[in-house]
Amino acid sequence: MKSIYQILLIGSLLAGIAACENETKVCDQTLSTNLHINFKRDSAGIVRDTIMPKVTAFALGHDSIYKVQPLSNVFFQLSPVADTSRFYLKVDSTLTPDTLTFRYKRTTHFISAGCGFGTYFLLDTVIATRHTIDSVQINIKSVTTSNDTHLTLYFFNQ
Amino acid sequence: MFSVAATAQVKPAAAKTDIIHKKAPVDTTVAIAIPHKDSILLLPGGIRIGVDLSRIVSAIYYPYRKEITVVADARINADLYLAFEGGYANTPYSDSNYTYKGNGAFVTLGLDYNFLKRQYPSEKNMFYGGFRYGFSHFNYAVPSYTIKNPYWGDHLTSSIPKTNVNAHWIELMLGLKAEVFKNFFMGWNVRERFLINNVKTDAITPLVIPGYGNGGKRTVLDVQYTVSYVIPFYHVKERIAGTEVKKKKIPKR
Repeated sequence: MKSIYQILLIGSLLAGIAACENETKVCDQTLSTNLHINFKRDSAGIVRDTIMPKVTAFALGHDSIYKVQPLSNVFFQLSPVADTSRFYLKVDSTLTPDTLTFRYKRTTHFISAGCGFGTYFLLDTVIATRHTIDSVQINIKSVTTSNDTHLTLYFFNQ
Repeated sequence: MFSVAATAQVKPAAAKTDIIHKKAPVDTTVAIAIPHKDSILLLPGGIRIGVDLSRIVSAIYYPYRKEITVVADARINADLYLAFEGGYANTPYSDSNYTYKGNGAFVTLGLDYNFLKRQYPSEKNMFYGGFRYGFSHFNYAVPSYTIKNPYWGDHLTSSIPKTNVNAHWIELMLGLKAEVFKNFFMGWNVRERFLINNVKTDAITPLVIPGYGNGGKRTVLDVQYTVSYVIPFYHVKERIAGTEVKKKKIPKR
């Protein structure tokens, strides 16, 4: 009988331990899903990833995301309240900047109890000026995680 | 020797021929039939009703999980119990990103099997394993949510209307119940719940499924700590097999 009481006590401790995880207090996922863009350029007949020497980028009318820095990838946050976002992209200080226009559909997504809600995007159209950009390739239309490479920009050899 | 001498006295002719008749050894084993009857033992039965105290602990750690659970079982034979649980849950939650309102009721129905070998016929302590089928009907709504984007400086505010949902699940459990006072029990059990149907949508995952737990998980581990009282108003019969025919040695006179 004594051992039964001991087991009852252990059970009450188990009940306490099981109750310790409060999922509304923890947000272990990123709230924003960024559009991931990769740079490529033709080099001696082979198209390969390239580092653009002085990248400056920002959404039109907003602060800089990147300011004169060498990059081979950029991540753009699309607007959660509009169906179009426009970005300025200059890949070298001596080159003419380009403008990228993204048109997309938005869907609200529940991330987790701790994080709340976020937005998923489905790319519809990408329009780019052709000063330094040779072509644009959409790899993945659905922007649900920043881990995927959604877009590849091919640059002219200058 | 005694047997041979006695024969010689009755039949003197046999002695003359010097022939000794050896008798076969006498089998002294006699089959005695002991009545082959089954005994019937009357074991105390009744309906046990209680509450799950772990919901109080749970409400401390999860302020948005307000739930009451009533547990009950009824003995249907020596080791088997029909088990029922029912309850109601309210899920009010609010933070800077969203507000959530949910509520609903649930029931579970299943069987418990007592593995504990009784030390005396009226012992009611249990170490048991069981299963349950669970069903919950609940609703939830998100009166407001905000998606903030520091870069764009825009805040998207919207809401999700009230939605009714049914959830089904299966539970496997292991636990014990000890009679701490006459007819008064305390016990705990550990259970794993397996959600059968999907209640998630892209727009929202219910924070809590009443009776199940976290709406975002396909399996949930939970612990119950119960106090209960048994109302003993019937008995269940347990048949004890009677003794078989035995061979007993009785010395021959």
